[in-house]
Amino acid sequence: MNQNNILSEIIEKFQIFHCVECGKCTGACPLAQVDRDFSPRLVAKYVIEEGIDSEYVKEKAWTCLTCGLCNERCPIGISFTEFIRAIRPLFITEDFKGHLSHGGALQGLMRMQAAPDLNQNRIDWITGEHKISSQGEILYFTGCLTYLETFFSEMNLELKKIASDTVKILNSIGVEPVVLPDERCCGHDLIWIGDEISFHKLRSLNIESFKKAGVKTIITSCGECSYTLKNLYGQPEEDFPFEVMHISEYLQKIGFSAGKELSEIATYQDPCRLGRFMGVYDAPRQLLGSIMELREMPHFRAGAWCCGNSAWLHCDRYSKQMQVERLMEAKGTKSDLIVTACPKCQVHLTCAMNDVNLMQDLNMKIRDISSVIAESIE
Amino acid sequence: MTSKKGILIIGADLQGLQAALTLAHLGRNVTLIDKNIEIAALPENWSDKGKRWNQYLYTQVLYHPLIELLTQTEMTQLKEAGGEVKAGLIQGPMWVSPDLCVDCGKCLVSCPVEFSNGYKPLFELSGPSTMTIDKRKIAPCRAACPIGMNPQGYIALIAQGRFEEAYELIWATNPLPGICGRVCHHPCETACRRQEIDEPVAICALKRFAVDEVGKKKKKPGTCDTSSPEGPRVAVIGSGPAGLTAAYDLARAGFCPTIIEAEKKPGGLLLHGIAPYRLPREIIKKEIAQILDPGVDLRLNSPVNSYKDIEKLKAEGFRAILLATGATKDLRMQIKGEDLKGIYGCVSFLKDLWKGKKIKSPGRVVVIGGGNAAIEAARASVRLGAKSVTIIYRRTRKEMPADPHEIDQALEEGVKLRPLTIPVEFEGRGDGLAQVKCIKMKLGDVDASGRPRPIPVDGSDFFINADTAIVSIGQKADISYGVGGDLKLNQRGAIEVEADGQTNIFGVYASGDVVSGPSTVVEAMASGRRAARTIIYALKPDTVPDGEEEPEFSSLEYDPILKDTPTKKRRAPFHRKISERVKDKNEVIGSFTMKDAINEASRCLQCGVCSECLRCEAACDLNAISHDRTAIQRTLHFSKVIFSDKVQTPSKIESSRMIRIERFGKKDSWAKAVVAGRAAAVKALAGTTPVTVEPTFHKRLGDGELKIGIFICSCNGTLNENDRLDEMISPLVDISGVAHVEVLVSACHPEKGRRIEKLISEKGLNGALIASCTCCHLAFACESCNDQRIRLKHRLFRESGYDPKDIALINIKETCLLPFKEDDKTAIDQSMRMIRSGLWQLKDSKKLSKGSEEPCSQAIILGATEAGISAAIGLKEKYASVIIVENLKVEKSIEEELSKFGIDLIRPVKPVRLDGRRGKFTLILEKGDSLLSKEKKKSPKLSLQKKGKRLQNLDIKIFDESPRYKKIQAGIIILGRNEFKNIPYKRDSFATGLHAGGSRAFGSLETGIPGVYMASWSQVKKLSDQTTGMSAAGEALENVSDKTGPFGSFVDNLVAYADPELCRGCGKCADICPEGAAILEEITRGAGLSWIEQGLCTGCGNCISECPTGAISLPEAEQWYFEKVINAFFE
Amino acid sequence: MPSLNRKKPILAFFCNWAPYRCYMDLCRSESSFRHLIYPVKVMCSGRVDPAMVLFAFEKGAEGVMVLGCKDKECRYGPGPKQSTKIAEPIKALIHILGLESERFRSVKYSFNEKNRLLEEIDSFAKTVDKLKKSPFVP
Repeated sequence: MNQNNILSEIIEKFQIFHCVECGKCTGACPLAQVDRDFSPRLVAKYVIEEGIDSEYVKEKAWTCLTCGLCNERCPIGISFTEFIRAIRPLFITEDFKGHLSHGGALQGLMRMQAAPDLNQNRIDWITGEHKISSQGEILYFTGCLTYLETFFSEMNLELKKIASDTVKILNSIGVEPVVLPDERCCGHDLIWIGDEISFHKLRSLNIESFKKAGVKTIITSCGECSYTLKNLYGQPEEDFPFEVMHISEYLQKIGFSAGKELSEIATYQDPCRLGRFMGVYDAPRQLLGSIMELREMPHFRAGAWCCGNSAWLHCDRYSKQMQVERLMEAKGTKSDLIVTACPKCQVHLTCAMNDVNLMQDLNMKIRDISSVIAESIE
Repeated sequence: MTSKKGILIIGADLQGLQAALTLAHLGRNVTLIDKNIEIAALPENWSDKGKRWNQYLYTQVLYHPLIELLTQTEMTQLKEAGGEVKAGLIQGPMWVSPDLCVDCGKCLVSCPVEFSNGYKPLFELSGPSTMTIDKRKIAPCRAACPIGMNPQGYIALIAQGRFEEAYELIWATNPLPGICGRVCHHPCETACRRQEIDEPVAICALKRFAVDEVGKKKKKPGTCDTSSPEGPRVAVIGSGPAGLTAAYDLARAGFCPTIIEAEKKPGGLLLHGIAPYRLPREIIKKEIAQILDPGVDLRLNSPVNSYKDIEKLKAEGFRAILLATGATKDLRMQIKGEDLKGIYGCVSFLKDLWKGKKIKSPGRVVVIGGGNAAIEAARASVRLGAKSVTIIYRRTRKEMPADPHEIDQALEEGVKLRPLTIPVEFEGRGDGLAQVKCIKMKLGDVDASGRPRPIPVDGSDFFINADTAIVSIGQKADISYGVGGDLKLNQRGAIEVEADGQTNIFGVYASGDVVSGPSTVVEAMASGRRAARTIIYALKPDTVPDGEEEPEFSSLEYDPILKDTPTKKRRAPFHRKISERVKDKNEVIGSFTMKDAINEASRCLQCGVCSECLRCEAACDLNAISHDRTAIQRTLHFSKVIFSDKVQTPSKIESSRMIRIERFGKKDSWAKAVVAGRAAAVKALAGTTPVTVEPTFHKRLGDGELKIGIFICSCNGTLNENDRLDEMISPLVDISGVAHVEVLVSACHPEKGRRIEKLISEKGLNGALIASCTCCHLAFACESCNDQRIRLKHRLFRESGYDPKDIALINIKETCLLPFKEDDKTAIDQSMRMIRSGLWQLKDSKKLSKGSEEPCSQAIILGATEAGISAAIGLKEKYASVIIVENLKVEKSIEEELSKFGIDLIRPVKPVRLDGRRGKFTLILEKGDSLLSKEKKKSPKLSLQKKGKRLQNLDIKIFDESPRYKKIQAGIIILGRNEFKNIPYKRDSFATGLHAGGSRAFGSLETGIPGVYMASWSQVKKLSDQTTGMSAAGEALENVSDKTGPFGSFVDNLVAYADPELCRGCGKCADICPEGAAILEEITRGAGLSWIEQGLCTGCGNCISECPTGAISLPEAEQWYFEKVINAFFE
Repeated sequence: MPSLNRKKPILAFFCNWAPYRCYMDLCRSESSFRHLIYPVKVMCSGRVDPAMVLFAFEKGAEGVMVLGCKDKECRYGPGPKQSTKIAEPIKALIHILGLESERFRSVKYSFNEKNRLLEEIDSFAKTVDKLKKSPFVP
């Protein structure tokens, strides 16, 4: 089957023909606010008109943030982001596969985790105060925290602490989660850059280890991991008999009551995958609201602005502008800190704070929800 | 008056190299000479930095098209006249041409000479990276040989067991080697220096060994040319050694010689005068046959009896006639009884004998004389069954001219010797001889012959009984044919010739004993050779080169003989037992055994170091080596001359055309050398105009789908043994886009490399990958470059004019083939990987470029110090406007001087702020009160912020609004006084990087801010301010001048580019860029934009590794490029 | 002659200046340089970023070296500092991945240190030889 036929099938599958060209998607798109050339509507238009040869689609397929705001607004209910994910593999060419940030080092790290005989040292954050088990029903999926903290060591982010804090929270409610020493990357970023082969390798390796450990429930501290495991791991030919939850969901489900109140005022950044993709808006807000004052930014919940980047792709001038705007919104709430539920939001927003010109105006504390909760129960 | 003539720099040491480079960057033609052969080597006490910089400058100098570098060159005279300098230059003989040598090492392998410590006459230089030859005075053995044989050469070859090559070397000069190997009186051994330790080397026997050993299976070496049937005809009368040698030489020169012999067999005295047990007849026969075959005619039984015969020959068409009839007439004693029966002349006795005439037993024999012929006669008598044989000689044995070795053998065979004896009368019984009356002699003073004169002892008469007497006191020429002509003879009855063999008759020449009287075989041969040469020159004047006929020899002394050289006994070949050998005519002495020969040959001291065996010439297919090259003298005209520190200068150095590089301390003073060299270059600029440089790259091979040609260099075949490189061809052809693959002999050789050009145009290629020893296609030379790599770049980019975009160069010689020389499989495998990775160069080189931006043509000097003024004067050569800014008082005289040079002076002003970058600086000056009118004095004044705090926009406005401040633009800034380094620079920081000689450049006066220089440098204490000032100006000029690369001279063509779409404006590139080429500008809130000043970028790529977004691209430093290269390795 | 690292190739990023010259001298010299090195030339060791090193490991390099100029001898200026800066994170990252951090080395040279380079490559090759096969080697 040639590329164009595959494309036609995808267009069919995602009902792109139903687009009424109302332009609401473009109106909502945060990227379109800064990059006047970008329009989801036009992508839909050109992909129908020109198919695989469309230069516009080839370029925009890669610059799309995949934040999902357009999906929310589409009167027809087209899932534009899923459509983008589906067409990216078709638009990989020898000389253009999107601009990977950091020279593709992060995607490289993820691809490398697909090697079967790996013996990683990814759980060095586990100390005597953490209680974990190797077999059990509840698994804590740590994600790329160890890698990211090391890679971005210049930024002094405490990403490994998220994992540590999550385990501590679970311990506090009597759960001794399984933590896999050879857990692989969930593959979120790889499938979003069109590398389906590596994604499936990671997926099978992970499922195998889940099964081996006798897991029934998977808890993550990352919106992307949650989304990927929950929505993308299940395949028609192979079922995925696990329940996947973000830590906030889990805590809400078991009726976790937080500890002491914190004096800081926080604003909550909705991660795209956790929010719009999985509809988890209330759980983190309830948890946070019970221990501190929570203020909303002008764009929040389903309308929240993206942290500016996804899958370490096209971290460009427009990303930066979006990040600065988002930080300005956060500053505008006069909160003390931004709380997010995805480590990548932390990385992106922290990076944007280093602006040469606006340094003082953007600086703000940013923490993960797990760390905030852990602090409250100390 | 300005001149476009070049500038001569004498002394290619560090400062000379730097001066040359500075001048060349400023467009001046430079001739740089050095008397040394190796100029990249530096004394041990120089620091690594200095050595490195020297090497770097050397490669730059080689690469620069405006510099002619002449090593081994000295200046012989220097004359200043008519507004120019006339210099006589002499360049020593370049036996290895640096322009042709590819440094492949073949010659090294071919050279037979090796000393016990491993030293070889050929060795590799580090810069220029070519071979060189250690040649001394001509070796004594070779100098002593009348026919110019090269014993050192063939002995070295024998010592290595390379007998065939030794044989060929022997044949190159000697047509009768087997004969000489037996009967030569070997003056070489007499001259041999080995006897200072023990005994001379047995050269003669070694020669015989080589000839016997190889001659068994081989006829004559193929190297001998033969005559052409059309060549001029020459008659050679006489077939002795002289005639044979002459005929051989004539045939080799393309002549048609005919030997005319009176006897039945050719050979002359070889046949008639030398016994078969010394010189077997088959040797004579064989070697004469080799001379005759083909090309030399022989007429036997053709005596030339009268002058008419000679005229007949002329009429027959012989254009020259060489008389080589020898000295065959025995001299008589002229004493009583000499006509008695039983008394023979030696030559006629031997001639009859060897012709086969039956001679009955001679009874008691007396031989009179002490030459070889006398010994010969004595030994022949022994073999004829003589009862006794006595040799009578008038001096002592020591004075006997015969070979001592021969005397020994005769004595061994029973011959008696009566020295100090002279016959005075033969007394007979009947008509036969009965006894010889003799008197005794004593030795007196030394006579004209250099020997002591024998004086008769009165009353010492005595008698020796004898049946036969053989008179061997000498021979003279038989010149009966001269009668009837007017052939001029000398007093001794020999033919009178000029030194070269020309007789007094046109077209008639003479050589050998007929000229000299009786001599030796080799001397006769030498004489024949001289005559042949004369004939060749007379009939074919163009065959002998004009002027110096002899190749030039080195005048370097031999190495002294070390006291601890171990002695080694001279070996003697096998001698047959006396009892046996006297019974037959078979040869007495055998040949060396192979082992003995090698051992004996290894005794040679190799006096000349290089033996001139010419094996290296034969090994080099590229004609890089020629031992015949001579020194080249030239007279050239220059506009200026610069003398480097180490060169003796002539007394009239004060002339403005003669510039001396300022002296500096000797030890480790590389930085000073660079500074001083640059300053001298700037001084030399005055009165000269730059030449126009042709653009280097002008030929694009076309875009479109790549059609690549791959050329693999085998480095003169040294990397291609067993055709292993050919294995790569077919797998490479299969790669898509590859249209042609070929193994080249040598890509950097001027001639052989032209094939690349030919194939590119023939096959319509639009990309070429050259896998050789050259490692990049960038338009610069670095420390890893050597002569060959630079030469290839010159060929491709300068001569052929290809754009580096279309050419990829990768190094497989050093990275694959040399390290795995013994492991073909790895070598080929690794090479394939390298070549595959190199193909990506072609796909990524399309962006190679060097942008340009016109720099501001105004230069500012801060401070009217001596250094500053010198710098200003230097800058005036290039900059239209040069301004000196000063806040202190300046003397009237200085002001006047400055205006003379057209330099503006602004004072009193104080520089308060510097902005911008190289090429585009903005300097803000605060006017002193005396420049301001009354009310203006009240204008607001900027209070300088504390260090580290940035200026607010509000503050900056003052500069535009207040009349107190003045803004001026400048391309470059030179700090005349060191205090000015505290001037605030950039928006938000005070300059802290203002120090000269920073880490980036060596001996540089540039500060941490590119484009800002210091005119005086405290570290260079020994140099005057004038010199440092000039040098700063030179550096500044260099950096802005060159047309082929604005700001950066011939540095490189790698330039980064920032994609505005991808740039996040994080400023990391601007932070890391050492050149200030990456510039960050804010465009909207939160988003910046970096752009890269093309002229400033040096292509290091640090910004790329810093850039988080991949916005910066730089040819051959991009992520995808490295991914492809790495992929190619692991494929 | 068998090459030492036939099955354990080392990828080396050579700065064009001092280290590459050492490497050239080394290959040309008669000392038995028999290591299988895949040389990648960069203009300055500061150009080498973690992505390149990780990519080399991913493709099957058993060891990766970055060879730069000595601190104050960089032609450009920031190179040595930059290459030092990336060394630690790279070591940490490959450690997390389960590769021994000895598999990566960042070394600095002057232009005439071919013998030191030989020693360094020798010792590096020996170190790598002792380690078990990298999980990324196909």
